[in-house]
Amino acid sequence: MPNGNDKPKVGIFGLTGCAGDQLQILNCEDELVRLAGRMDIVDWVMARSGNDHTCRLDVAFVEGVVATERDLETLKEIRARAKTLVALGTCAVWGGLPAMHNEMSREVLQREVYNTHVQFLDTVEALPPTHFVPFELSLPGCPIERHEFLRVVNSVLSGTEPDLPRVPVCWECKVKENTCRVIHAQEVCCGAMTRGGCGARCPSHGVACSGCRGPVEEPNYDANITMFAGRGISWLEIARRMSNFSAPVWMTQGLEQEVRRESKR
Amino acid sequence: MQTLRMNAGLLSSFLEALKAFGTLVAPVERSPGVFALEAIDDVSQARPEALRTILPFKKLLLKPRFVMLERRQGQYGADGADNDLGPVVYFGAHSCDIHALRILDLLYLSDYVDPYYKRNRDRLTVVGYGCMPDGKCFCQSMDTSTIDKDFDMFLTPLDGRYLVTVNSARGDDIVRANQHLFQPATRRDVQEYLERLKEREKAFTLSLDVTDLPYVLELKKDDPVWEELGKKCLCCGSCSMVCPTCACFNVRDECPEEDSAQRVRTWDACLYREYALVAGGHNFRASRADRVKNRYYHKQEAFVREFGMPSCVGCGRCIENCPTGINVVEVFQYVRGEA
Amino acid sequence: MSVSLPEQLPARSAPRKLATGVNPYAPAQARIMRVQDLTSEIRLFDLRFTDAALAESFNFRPGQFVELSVLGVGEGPFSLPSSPTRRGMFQLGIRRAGTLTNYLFDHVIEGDFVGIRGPLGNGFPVELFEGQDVLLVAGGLGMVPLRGLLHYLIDQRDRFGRVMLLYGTRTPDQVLFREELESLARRGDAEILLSVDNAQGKPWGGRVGVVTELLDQVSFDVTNTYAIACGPPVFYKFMLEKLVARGFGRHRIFLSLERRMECGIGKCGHCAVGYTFTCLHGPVFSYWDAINLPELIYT
Repeated sequence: MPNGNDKPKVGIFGLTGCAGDQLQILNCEDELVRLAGRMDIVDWVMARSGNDHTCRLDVAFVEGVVATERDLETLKEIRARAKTLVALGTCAVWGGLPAMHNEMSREVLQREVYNTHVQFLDTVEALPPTHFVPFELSLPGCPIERHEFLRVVNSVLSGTEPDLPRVPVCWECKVKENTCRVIHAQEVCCGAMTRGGCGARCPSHGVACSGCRGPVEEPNYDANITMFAGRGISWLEIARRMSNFSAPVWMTQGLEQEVRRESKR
Repeated sequence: MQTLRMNAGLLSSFLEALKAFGTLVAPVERSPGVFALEAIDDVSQARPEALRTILPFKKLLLKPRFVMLERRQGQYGADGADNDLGPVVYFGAHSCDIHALRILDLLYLSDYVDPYYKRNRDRLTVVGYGCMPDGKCFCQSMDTSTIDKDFDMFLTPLDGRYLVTVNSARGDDIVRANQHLFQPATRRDVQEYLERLKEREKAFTLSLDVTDLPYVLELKKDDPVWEELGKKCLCCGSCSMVCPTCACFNVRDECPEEDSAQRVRTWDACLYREYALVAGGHNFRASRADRVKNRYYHKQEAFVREFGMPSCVGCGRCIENCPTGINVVEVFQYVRGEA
Repeated sequence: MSVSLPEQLPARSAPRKLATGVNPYAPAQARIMRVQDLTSEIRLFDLRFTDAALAESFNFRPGQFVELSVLGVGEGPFSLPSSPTRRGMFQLGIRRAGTLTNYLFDHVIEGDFVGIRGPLGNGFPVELFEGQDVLLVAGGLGMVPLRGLLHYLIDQRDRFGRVMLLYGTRTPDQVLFREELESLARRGDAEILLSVDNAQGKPWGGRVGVVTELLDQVSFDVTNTYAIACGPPVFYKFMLEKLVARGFGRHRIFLSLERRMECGIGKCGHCAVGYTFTCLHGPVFSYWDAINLPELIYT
């Protein structure tokens, strides 16, 4: 990072998405004011006017998925401008909810959702930005956790990389001594497959983990599916819960086949 | 050692009296059949007979996450105040828990003494409670079903009264401060204790053959069972988190805000993929099968070679908390070719 | 010249204390005195403890290691390429490999402070080597800890028999301490043979070929020689058995293992291999002690 008065230039961008992660940044209020003294946010359409859309950026945060050709162009422009590129939120890292039904064609989706021929849609298959350009850092979450965002920013500003935990949600769930949603409630809980950092928020409120933070490295999908099925949960229910987030990576061949077989029964 | 008796009706008074010696921590029922160790004010909440809490007492010594070293506005600190739990009285320890405490002491108080552990350990008062095994207990096989040291007091429930074993000067302090609660034990009390002991020994339904187990494991290190377990294991780490002797930890630096840096210590599990990853990217146990195997070998082979005993006390927590139903006893039966 | 070294201690013995402090997790402050690039990826740092008494008394056994840290960035284990025979200053040879080392390369300059804990682990059993011939075989970065041992041996030259070093790297520009080694060889302090896998058309006076082939270039009396090997996994894979084939007993071969040593004091568990904690029982093992460790040699 540059020293002295030459504060690092930062840009925050949203592709196709709900802007929930950018909202989380705005929610950092007090911390954001303090951070503003250490960096120059020069390009953030959602939060300020008079943005500089062409300057070099020391750090750029990108939220959302690439769902249109224009998204892809924007992404490539940001990549070219940024020294450190950070994927912000599960959409940017894994595809998240917009990628949930990538296995269906755009035409079918369009018909199912809008029920008519519409002219304004120009979408392509929704894929995470990480699929198209290299990123220096990933910060999953739906939305992102504020404390993780602040740690990323503080580490980057200190010239180092943040070392975020990569353990599954089960770690935090056990630390909180929650009643296990799989063992005691026979639910499809995605905790063991999902990267922690949220403090096991859902299981702590008695709700099974939906996997919104995306998978841990090398999750054991097969064993999870076998486990849920072995507890008498239907294949359709398993598929429905597991495909909510990060559908392309979560669905295994085996599960897809089982679902097809079951729906024929 | 000193043996006394206490009327069952005096338990609440006893627990109230314990509060003078530190924060009273005991198992409480979180949801039906699910227990956790919690600091209690209302002593009627204590459920010492509960066989296992989700997390064991190790959380009273080293928090799952605490700041070890810190620099804040130029000030450097290494006192780990974050992990300073003050004097704690742990009521409801079973024999297996106390054996586990000895194992943690071996690890943390030998060679280079862990100051963060030691501070809490020195101020931990252990008041044990006699239990009756269920179908997941196998402490009898691990030779940890009884205990005669490393606790301060131990209450064994008898008919309408407790046999009270006082085993440390601190235990003696508690008794001297509350003499009205105790009477000398009678021959009948001792007789009833022995009968209960016999009854308890008969109550075990689960057993694990540990004969020559370290060498048997050495012989079976290429057994296909480890591959099978690797396919079944979720690597969620629950077994390690709930294990009273699993003590691995991770150290990570964080910059939570400007001008502040912390070295944070968190519980870790050898089943996590990043566990044996080194800088530069090589992972010494990249496959799940290797990681599962490592966990069993560490408990039953490595620890035996290093300390002369296994680091499993047969508490059954890993059996109770494994979502896919991996059962340590069945694993070893399988390894021996018995299942 | 003779120095006394920290005792070799069996693991799990009576409580002991680190030179850098009573709290074994808290580092002592050291200043970076000099920074030198050995290759494009490996940098040599000269350090001195801020506390003058500690700086003068800091003693370690060749083969031991220290944990270096920058609070807020991270901590990592590094072996010492310097010798306890030269007090006051110590050196670390560091390869750029991750978050911490990136920070050290990009942000740490002469005059900066870092944290040091140590010395850690059990080093080479140099007492055994007295009056014996010593054969050092190094591959790549394995030269870093062996350079500390080499200095130790030649600083007390009369206590040991022949001192031989066989050292191989991929290319000539990856040879660490090349000028120094060539000068030692010229002075006759040690018999030194260098090899590279590929000279890449650069000026090169040594051999071209894999380092194991250097073994065929020297003769030694295996009943009177200790072999000390240090290098990457693939190096061990071929070198250890080749030494055995040349007649070395497995108890006469010593090696140093790399693992994820995090706490360095046998607590955190990350460096455990089989029944041993690399940081506490090792990182130096005899080949016989190491041969049954699972995952000893990986590729």
